[in-house]
Amino acid sequence: MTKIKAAIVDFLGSNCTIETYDALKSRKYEVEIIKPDESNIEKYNLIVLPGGFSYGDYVKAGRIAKFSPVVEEIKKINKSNKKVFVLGICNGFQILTESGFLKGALIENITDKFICRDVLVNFNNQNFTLPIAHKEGRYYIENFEDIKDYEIIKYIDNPNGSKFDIAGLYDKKTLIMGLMPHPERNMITPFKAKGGSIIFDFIENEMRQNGII
Amino acid sequence: MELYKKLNISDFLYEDIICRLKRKPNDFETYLFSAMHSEHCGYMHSKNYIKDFYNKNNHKDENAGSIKIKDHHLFFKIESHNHPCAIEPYQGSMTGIGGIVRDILALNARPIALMNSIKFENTGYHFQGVVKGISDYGNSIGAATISGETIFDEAFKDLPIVNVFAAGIVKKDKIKLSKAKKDCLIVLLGSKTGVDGLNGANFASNPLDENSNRQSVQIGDPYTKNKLIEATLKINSSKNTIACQDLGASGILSSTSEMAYKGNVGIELYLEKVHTQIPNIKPSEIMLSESQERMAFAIKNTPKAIEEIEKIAREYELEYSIIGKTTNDKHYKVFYNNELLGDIELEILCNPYGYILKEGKQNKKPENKNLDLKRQFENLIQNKNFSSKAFIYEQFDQNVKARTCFSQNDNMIGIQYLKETNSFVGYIIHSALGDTAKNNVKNTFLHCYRSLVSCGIEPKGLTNCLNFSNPNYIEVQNDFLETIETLKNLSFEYKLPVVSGNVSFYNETKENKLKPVTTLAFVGCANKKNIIPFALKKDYEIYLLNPNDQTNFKIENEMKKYIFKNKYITCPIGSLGLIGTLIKKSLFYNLGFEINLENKEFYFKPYLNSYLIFIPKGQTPEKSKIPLCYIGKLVDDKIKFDNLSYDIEDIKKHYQKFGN
Repeated sequence: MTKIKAAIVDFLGSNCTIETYDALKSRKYEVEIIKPDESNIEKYNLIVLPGGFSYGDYVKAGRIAKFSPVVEEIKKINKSNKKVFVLGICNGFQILTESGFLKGALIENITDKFICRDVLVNFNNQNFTLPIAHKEGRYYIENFEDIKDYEIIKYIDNPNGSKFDIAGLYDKKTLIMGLMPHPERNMITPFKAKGGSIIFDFIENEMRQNGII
Repeated sequence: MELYKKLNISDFLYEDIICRLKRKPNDFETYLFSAMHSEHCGYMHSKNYIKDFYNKNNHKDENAGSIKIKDHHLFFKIESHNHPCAIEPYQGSMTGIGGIVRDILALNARPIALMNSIKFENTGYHFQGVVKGISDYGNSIGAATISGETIFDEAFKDLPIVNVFAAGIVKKDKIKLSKAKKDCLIVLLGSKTGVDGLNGANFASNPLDENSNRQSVQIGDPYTKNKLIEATLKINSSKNTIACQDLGASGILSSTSEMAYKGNVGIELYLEKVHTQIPNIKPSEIMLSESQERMAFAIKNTPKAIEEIEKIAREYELEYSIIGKTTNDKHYKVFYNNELLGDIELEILCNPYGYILKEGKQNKKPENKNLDLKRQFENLIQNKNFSSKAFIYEQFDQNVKARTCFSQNDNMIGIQYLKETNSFVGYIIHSALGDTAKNNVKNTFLHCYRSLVSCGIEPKGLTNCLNFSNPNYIEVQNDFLETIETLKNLSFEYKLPVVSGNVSFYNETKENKLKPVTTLAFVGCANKKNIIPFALKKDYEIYLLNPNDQTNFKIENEMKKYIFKNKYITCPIGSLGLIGTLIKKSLFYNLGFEINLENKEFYFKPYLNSYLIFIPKGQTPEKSKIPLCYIGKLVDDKIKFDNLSYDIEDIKKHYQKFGN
């Protein structure tokens, strides 16, 4: 089987690039770290927007990164017949909502403070632990109707005031997934629970079903 | 008033400067002396004493010291940022972390762990600003806040104590020192130089009063720091880079002069070349500005070296300027538009007068009266320090970079996986506050030591941060000498190197003088099979190892051997005593306990020289050379000791009084 080709977009201010790289490597992917002005992204099977504080998260988390050329490239792919799976983790999820790839918005936690904690989530009929670490991770949308086509990653015990307990979203049509929890932190670290692998098992399965790999 | 007086240089020090210079310094030079010969930069009251510790690491004169782990070095250091946090807690704590991270970075070590020891009167203004600062800054620079401690006490009224720790990892052959050589160019990289943190070193070398100025506090920018970290690691990995120094206290002045002084060369600076925030900033301000997010490098004087800097600066969208060069004459010369502003021998500028301190009367507090157990228990659960600190540490990113195996979220000290060496590092920061300076050091040292041991981690080294009031007071001098002596003896006895340190004097306001606070941070190493994760279950039996409270190196070493060999779940007894420690450890798992001690004093005595050992029901503990005494077991819903009984639901209310 050919290796999955993945790229991590390293924005200035991203700070989870290295561990995301290690995590993808542990899945035996062929991984490259690319700059946000990279134009040729069709060659990858998976694009990851990592966690961190892109461009200092000035104005609002993800607001500046959405003007990157790579975001335009993802838009182009969406309009074409090409298929690439896009995963945004934490700041990456914020970039995805800011850019309009996923509906809704991520606003400041109900506690107005940063929260670093292990949380239990439910996804694909499984409960498992993932760590969260964010200040602007409270998902907001007016009507559930607007996201009814998405698959939802849910908090069991909502930590940040997210609407409908939403921790992450997956749009099957566009193959775009956004997650506030950090799967990459629970995959390779000794003594840590391995909940992150469940997310990547799912992603690989989706890529297979959609003929990406 | 003469300028030197305005700049808080004492008559005595001014005379000393004149005597060594064999002339009066001009006004510009006086500014330089006011910073370099301040307590903060010059360590004048402590420099004769702080080199006496056991220390076999060979980076003694560097920004931080290290322990060796296989073919890598782990550099670490702790530093105080008390003065800025008293005036401007949010910026103060941000730039405190910024500063300690740069110290690690200067050695080309990638910062991987942060810790903090923070102390306040209450959860008010200072507390909120400091915690928010650590959260906003520390979380975005890519190093995990792996552990920490917060203490509330009236002793810290208007005198918040903010001690921050950073550790970084570097391969042995990649270490970059701060010694410049001949024929180097001096490069300044990062933020523009402005007028924030102006002469902050001098500000931090005096008591806090109504003249304490917000402009003396630096302003942090975590986004720029994030870029500066990556750019610096790239520049320092080049063979064209000869030396690196961070810009902290006294900014350009101290970084460039120290690089030259340590390298035994001279330096010429051309201040008009410095990239500044505003035009018309005065030369003395350029020298003394403590604008954050700047690093200085000595690079080879070749077009290729300059090109390399240019390329890296462009990649990370950072500004740089070439501000001077090294010379052969061991002088510090500063020019502005071709005018020579100052010319001082580096030996005089960088090696200020060192005071001899005197032993004086002991500064003892009367011991607490013995209260009955019920009253002691009530005092314990009412104590602000008893409550869960989750509402603090959950604001810090403990896991970024995915190296963290255990942290406060797991009811444990910080333990990281080092992929570079395939081994594990444990971190603990602590400061015991008790009756005498000596006991504080001893309790702090032993608590850190035991905290590592209890997780199966071999202690390897430590760093210290000594916080004191005004060093001109005889009792402060006495406390300081006692602190040094105690730490020195312990470091030799346990053969644990004190690899780096920091002294903060003048922690006083008109109304409040700080009692001595010694903060220590220990670092230790382990392999995967040695680590003892902490987790408790119902019906575990509780034993006390070393129940007679004696301590010396031999006893501690025997206890360590016993724990390492049998890998029982264990923990040391901290400031809240046996009962307080047990509640904190067991409530995390929704458990209570029933215990009985022969010696009733030991229920609440802080820092009992023992370990609590937890053994699954039915198992007989292995024989121990140190006495091991059964004291009770973990139960579901009650806390029972002596003849007292409490419902854990009631205790929980006190434990969670700050909410989450």
